[in-house]
Amino acid sequence: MGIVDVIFWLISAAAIGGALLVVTVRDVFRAALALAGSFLAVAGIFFLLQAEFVAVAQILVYVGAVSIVVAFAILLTRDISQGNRTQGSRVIVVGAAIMAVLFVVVVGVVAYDTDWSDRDSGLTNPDAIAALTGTYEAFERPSGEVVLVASTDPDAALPGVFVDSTGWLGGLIVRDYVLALQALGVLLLASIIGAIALVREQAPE
Amino acid sequence: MPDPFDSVLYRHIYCTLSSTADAQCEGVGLFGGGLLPGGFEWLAFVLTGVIIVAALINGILGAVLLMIWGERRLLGRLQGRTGPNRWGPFGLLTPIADAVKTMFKEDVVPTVSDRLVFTLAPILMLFPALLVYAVLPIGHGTWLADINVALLFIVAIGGANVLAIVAAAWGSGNRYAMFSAMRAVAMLISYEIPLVISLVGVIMLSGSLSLVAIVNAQTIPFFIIQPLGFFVFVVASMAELNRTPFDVAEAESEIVAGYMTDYSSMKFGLFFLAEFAATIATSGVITVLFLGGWHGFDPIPSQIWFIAKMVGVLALIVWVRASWPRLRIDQIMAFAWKALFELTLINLVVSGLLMLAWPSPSTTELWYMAGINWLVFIASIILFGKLLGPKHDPVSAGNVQRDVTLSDSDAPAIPSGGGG
Repeated sequence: MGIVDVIFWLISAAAIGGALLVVTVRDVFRAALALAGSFLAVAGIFFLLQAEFVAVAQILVYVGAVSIVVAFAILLTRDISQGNRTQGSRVIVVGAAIMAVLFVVVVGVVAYDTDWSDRDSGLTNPDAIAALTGTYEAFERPSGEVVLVASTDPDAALPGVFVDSTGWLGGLIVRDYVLALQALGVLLLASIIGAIALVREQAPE
Repeated sequence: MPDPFDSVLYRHIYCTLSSTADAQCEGVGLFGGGLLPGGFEWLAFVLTGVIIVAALINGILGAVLLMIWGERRLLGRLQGRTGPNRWGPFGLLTPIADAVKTMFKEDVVPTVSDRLVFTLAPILMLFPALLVYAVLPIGHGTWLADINVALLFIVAIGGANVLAIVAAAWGSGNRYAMFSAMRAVAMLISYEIPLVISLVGVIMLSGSLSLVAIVNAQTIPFFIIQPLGFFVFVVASMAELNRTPFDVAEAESEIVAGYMTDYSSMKFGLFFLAEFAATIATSGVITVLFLGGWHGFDPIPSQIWFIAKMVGVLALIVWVRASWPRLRIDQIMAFAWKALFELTLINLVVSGLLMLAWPSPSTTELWYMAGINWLVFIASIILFGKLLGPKHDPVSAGNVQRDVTLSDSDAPAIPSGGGG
């Protein structure tokens, strides 16, 4: 067991422990803080997997924005600091059963779909790389090393798949899936306008 | 993941400790290397990290003490006072006396507080401020981690201190603290947007999010090529730091000390420390992004260049603090959304068009870019000054007393820099 494994288990324990605290702690604000800690630990796992961009996006979006929205919602909730913190749902068993089934299904599907044979060697199967990367092409060097070659700039290619995950993701977002990005922008704009329309002060008649 | 052996400092300490003759340790390391017995390379790996982090944190503490002294002296100068000058040469030992005093104060915890959250908040505040230093390059090969998304990392980590402010407010269970948290969240989230967009020009010019690559790309410091981005970034950073023109979250004339009202002793000390550590880190980031980082001319080492530029930025921040009064929260929000946001969008469009015109600019072309950007900068500042000037702002026009609820006579003077 290398030091990376030790770090992985520590971070995983933090992530799962934080998630457990979220659902077991009675105080909602402490639960929100535990949620932020759990998000942070997940970002740590992304860092460990060398997906730096996803890790930082996780911190930026989840720790920096979602947790703060949650905490702020708690701050603005009236009388929440004076008792009445218990969740009194009678159908808790039904809910727990549904969630357990969903959890098993999701984990099962992901585990079934994953190609576990590449687990240790990194992605070296050229077909898998070609399927994953779309516009990028897998290219086997004479030494047997598989590199990714961007169709525009073959010299810039680096060995391994996720060496420059940021540039790769950037290419996907603003080149291959730019229509989806624009649609998302329109959706966001619509929701912002909707929010403004909802909270606008009514003009006196 | 970055290779820690890219860092000269890391390589030296590791090779001094570890007994294995790695290829990376050729001619590196003191005492011939191998202070630890064989088979303990993992311990060397961990110890090196611990040593560097301990040295870094102590270095930051020292820098914060110096910064407190420097800020008070400079503020004194700027306001026609003397500043602290009694204890030690030029008053240099004053912050140490302050620190000792802070530590020996009684640690008061309000009975209505949520004790755990109350204690956690100052720690949460300090940790993002310290994490920025992990990616800050302060000289040739003098950095801890050169991750390829360092710039985004700094922005993401910088946003985390909002959570600490909210936690402090919630933990205190105090109305002033709540008001302060509301103001802080509104302000910090608003200023984060221009802060991030103002960086896009720098990213386009350098083609990287790595701070080391950004410094290497600066044959001409970027504040010359990106004046508008520089201006917006400096202003938005000051807002993110909660420093004086923007310190509504701890406005002592209105809400006692905001989220710090109930804190005393070393918990207050930690807030203070976090604020100054973040100020120093931010000036370091400004130096890296816009002032050419460690670049300078030769006989002087690159680290000295970096620190000199950083001290210059710190002096600018203190100068701003001494020159402007505290703004109202509505003025601050209006400034973010009506001025800074539009300015960054102008900068984004102009920089994008210039990059389209010269995709890989030579030095001459960089100077052309700088000329065009300066014209745009001056024109847009004049335009926005005209648009948002006093005549067109109904809030500030002749309505100065709006927020004042206490007259001067029944409000006793509250000493600043509180802490009980």
